[in-house]
Amino acid sequence: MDLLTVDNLTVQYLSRRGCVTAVDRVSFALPRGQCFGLVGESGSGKSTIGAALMRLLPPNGRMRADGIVLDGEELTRLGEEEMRQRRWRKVSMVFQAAMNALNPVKRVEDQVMEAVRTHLPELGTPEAARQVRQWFARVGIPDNRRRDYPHQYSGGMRQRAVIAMALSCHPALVIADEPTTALDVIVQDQILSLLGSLRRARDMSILLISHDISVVADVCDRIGVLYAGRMVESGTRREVFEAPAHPYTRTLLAAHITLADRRGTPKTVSLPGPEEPGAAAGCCFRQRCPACQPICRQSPPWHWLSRTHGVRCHKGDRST
Amino acid sequence: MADNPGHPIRGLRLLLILAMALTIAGPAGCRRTDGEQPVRIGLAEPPRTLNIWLASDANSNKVLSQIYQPLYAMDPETLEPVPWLAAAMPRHDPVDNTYTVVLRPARWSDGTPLTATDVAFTGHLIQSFNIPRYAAKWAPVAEIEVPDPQTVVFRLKRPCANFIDGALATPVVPAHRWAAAAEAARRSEKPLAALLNHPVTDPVGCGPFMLAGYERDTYLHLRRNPHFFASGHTIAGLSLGPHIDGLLFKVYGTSDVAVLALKKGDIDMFWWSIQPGYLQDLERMPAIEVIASRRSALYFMGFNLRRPPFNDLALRRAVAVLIDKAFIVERILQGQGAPMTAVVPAGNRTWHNSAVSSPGAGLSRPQRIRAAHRILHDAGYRWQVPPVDDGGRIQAPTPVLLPDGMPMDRITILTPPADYDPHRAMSGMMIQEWLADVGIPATARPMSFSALLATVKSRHDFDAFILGYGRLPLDPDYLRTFFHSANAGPGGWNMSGYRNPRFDRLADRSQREGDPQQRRRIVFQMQAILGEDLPYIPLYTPLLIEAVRTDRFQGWVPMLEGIGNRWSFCRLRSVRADGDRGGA
Amino acid sequence: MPMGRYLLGRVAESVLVFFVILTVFFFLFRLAPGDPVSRLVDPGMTPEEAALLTAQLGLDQPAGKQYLIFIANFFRGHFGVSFHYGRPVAEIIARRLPNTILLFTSAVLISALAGIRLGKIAAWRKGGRLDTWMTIGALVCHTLFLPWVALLLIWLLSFQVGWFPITGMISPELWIVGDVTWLEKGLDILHHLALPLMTLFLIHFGSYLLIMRGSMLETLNEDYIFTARAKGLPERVIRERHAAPNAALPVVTGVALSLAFSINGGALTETVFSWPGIGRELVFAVSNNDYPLAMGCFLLISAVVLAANIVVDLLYALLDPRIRYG
Repeated sequence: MDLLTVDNLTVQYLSRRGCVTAVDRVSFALPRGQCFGLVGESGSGKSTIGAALMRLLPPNGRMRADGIVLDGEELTRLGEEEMRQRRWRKVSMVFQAAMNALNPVKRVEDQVMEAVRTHLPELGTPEAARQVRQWFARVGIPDNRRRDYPHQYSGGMRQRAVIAMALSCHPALVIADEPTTALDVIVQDQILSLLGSLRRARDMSILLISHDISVVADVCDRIGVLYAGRMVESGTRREVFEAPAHPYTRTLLAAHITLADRRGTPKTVSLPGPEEPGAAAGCCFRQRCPACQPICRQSPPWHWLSRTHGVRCHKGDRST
Repeated sequence: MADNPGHPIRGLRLLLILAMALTIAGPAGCRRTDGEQPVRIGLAEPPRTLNIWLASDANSNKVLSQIYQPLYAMDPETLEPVPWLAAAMPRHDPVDNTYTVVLRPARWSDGTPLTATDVAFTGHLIQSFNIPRYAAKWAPVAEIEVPDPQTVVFRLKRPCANFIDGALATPVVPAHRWAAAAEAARRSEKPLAALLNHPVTDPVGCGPFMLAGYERDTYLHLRRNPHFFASGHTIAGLSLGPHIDGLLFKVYGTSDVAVLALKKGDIDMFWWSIQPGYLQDLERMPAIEVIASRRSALYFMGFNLRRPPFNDLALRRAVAVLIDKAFIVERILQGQGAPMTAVVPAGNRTWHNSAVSSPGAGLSRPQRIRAAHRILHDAGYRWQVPPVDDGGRIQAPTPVLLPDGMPMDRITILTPPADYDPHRAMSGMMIQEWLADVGIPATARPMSFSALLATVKSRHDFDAFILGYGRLPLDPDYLRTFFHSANAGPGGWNMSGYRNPRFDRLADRSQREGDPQQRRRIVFQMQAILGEDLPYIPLYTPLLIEAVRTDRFQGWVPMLEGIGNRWSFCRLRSVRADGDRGGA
Repeated sequence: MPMGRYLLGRVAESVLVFFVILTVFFFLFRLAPGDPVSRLVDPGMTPEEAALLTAQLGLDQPAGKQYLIFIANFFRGHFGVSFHYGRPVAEIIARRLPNTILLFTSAVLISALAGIRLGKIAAWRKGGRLDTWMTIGALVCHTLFLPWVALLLIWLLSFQVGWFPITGMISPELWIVGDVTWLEKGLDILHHLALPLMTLFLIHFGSYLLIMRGSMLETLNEDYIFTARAKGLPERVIRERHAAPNAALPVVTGVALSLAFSINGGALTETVFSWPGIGRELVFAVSNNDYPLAMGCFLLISAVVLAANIVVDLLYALLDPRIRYG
């Protein structure tokens, strides 16, 4: 039974210049207790998917989906107040740029406490406080630092605090949006292993969003590759890494491997920037594709290569 | 959103409640006194001091003149001195030059009797401290004797023409209230400063009113003085009260608001001149009467006679011919004034020489230009293109050349700024245009009042200026002050630097001449000389426009300088006096 | 703690600045054109009288010596005697300052509170009809010419409708009666306060609204506001506990400085409303060369503003932990 199924999610942003499609008919499923990695370069729409799942798009964002089912509940049909109650309780987030994710004028403990008191009011203050203390201990923040303000923390500590906050209401799903960006390598590993161990311990599911395929490779059971708002390939980690079917996936993996020891600047790989999502008909990757053919002017269908492995490419069936 | 749409209003609710509460608090403020019905008078500024010797601002004097009284007051009709605290006109003995004054029976507002000692004390105080504004008037007095409690004898050093108008018109202060302060001041390091800074919170005088309350710079309340000496008497043909409970002075910062208060009935009189703009509106209201009074005021253009070009009489005459005073009065003053001829204002009937006329009066503009052109041409001024061609037609001239052939430097006419007095600033600009008609390059330059005064009075670095005296004394001794060569130094009041030995001799004589008829002839002669020499060109005397309500009090006495005079306040009666008294 | 030393440094610096201001003002007044004596008396005064008065006012001394005397008196707590009032400057200011504080300080306070509140709401509903109207209203009010608004309100609400008294601070007709209670007098003052307060509010709330709106809009783009939303916090909590405190930081310090400056009153408002405050006194003193009074007013304002600057720094530290623990 999947915890989360997303069916044909489309997100558009209305701007003065018109309508921009950021996410184009993306579908995927996340089994309970597993970790799904969404990979793509910036602008590929991966963070928009995270925000759309929380139904927290900016005012000019419009989403449409045939279904977003979380834990058996259709999220798109919930009222605003019902959705507010689901946030953090059912699905919480670990943000990128943890520096600004925390309110600078409130003490860190109070910010965690606030989430618990909002969603688990039945606990009562002393019990909530006890749980919050436990969470700080679990993520490895010393007891005497709980009452600090965010700016007094190091980057790693802030990320730990954000994780503590995200898990504090026992959500079924955690969306981790670039949880390790802007951290140095050692701390990145610590944070990733912390997330992994907590997930296993608490039987949570994680939707890990990253531009960095190596991060995804370390943690995820399944991987989806986004390009220009479209899912171009998805499958288990093994399928994607060992038998990448889409030319873009292959380019990503090649870049990752050759630049593996310079991960500080992963997005500066030699890939030219993606064109505007949904700008033209046909395969979205065709202008950068090393194996482009005339047929690529038509929109490629989705090919299932196995029960779990799929690719959006005209050569999909032949490339394995 | 989950937000309550009524929310933003909630923020303002507190303010609204506050505003409502303050509105409801209104009736408490509107509670009127049943017992007392003072005449409510609007002032433009609060009186700054109750110390009569410091009081230099008009508003302090408006209040203090109801309290402290002189020996002789001015008749509202004839403007001659009439006995006030004195029982009769002084007995003058020309042989030993003494004036003997007998006092009326009178009491101070605290009940103690006024005696000759108080008068002598006042004189000695002024002389020993050299109190500004009074000391000069008392300078001729050699000795003050008090033969009995009702009689004062003044012995003068020399004959003094304006002794009664000057020294004997000085307010008398009670010795028993001032002796201690004077003694303390005398012992201090700076006696005069100490006297001027002596705090007075409870002034005691023998006038028709006495101080009842003074609060927070916002109001001043005078109550009728039960001991007022003139109650029930007839002086200058007027039977005197006062018949009112008192005077309540309120402050209104702008004329706009004061006029609203007058229309609303919050005040019975606004003791300040009303601008022409309000007149139409006020004249329509049945309960309001607008009263125009003549003023003892001099608004003039002055020249610097110390340096070219205005050291040349011909140029000054030409300027005088070019200035159309009637135009200034009609267009700039909107008719609220009169063109001025002699330096002594026409309202000062005793001393004004009506034989002095304005150069070019009644001429049209082309006639003025021709006349000015003739004067200048005869004096040797030349133009490449003159203002009048050979056929007598007016044309645009080139800049005038001085008799020595050099072009005239641009001259500056200093005026007060328009926000201080728009009339003078406008007049300056008008004159600038008129001078241009004959090629005199002039610029009217508004300047802050302090700077203007410092420039023309102390530094003497100017060509011409426009100034005014809003309240000239009636005695024409100011002619000597303004034009005697002895006062031409830095800081002296002869700002033009006018020097005429013949005038100086007349001025000295006028000061000493005891015979009023003789003195009048001398003063007329002085005005005639000034009319010839033109150190000043008198421009206009504004009218004083005042407005009062007639529905509560009536009996205002019109007079030079307006209805705010001691006669008015002693004559006013409540319109519904009987009903009010009966109901109380 | 470094805070203490920092504070000490700031105080010392402010005292130094204060004396620089004092010196500049002292000589500026004496360099300005005009002669205080000539403003004190009319043309009847002879040059001898003027010279005597000049000496009595201490103005015959060279400016340098006058300055030393002023400084010496200043340290003894004597701030001089007004030429026109003949009363110690401290007494005049002490009499007028409460009136100014009553009107202007409360006006700043109320405008700021309302402006911040409305600005918060406007930003929260950015682009909505309420926001549009509030922004337009604030801009219009902010650009209004104060004396014009004041006269209009007096004409409308005092003269025509009769809700408020026609200017002034008290009703003398009430106060001259002997048996009036303090409560009645207090209500009377409040009744007179309403209209000038309303005028100042109209003129000033707009700027606070616009500043707060801008600050709030900036804050609403911050990541921690998204966090708060993601946390499923109710909208009111997000606005009041997360956005507003951060957005108010720069506004509040501005308000604190405005409060300090409010003690110099406003000559225009005081004139139109016949309010006996400091502002008109200051203008009068400057234009009439009443040096001691003008000095007194300016020095008081300088001292309060300098002190307010220190208070603002402390306030900022109090409100923003980044500075407190930085």
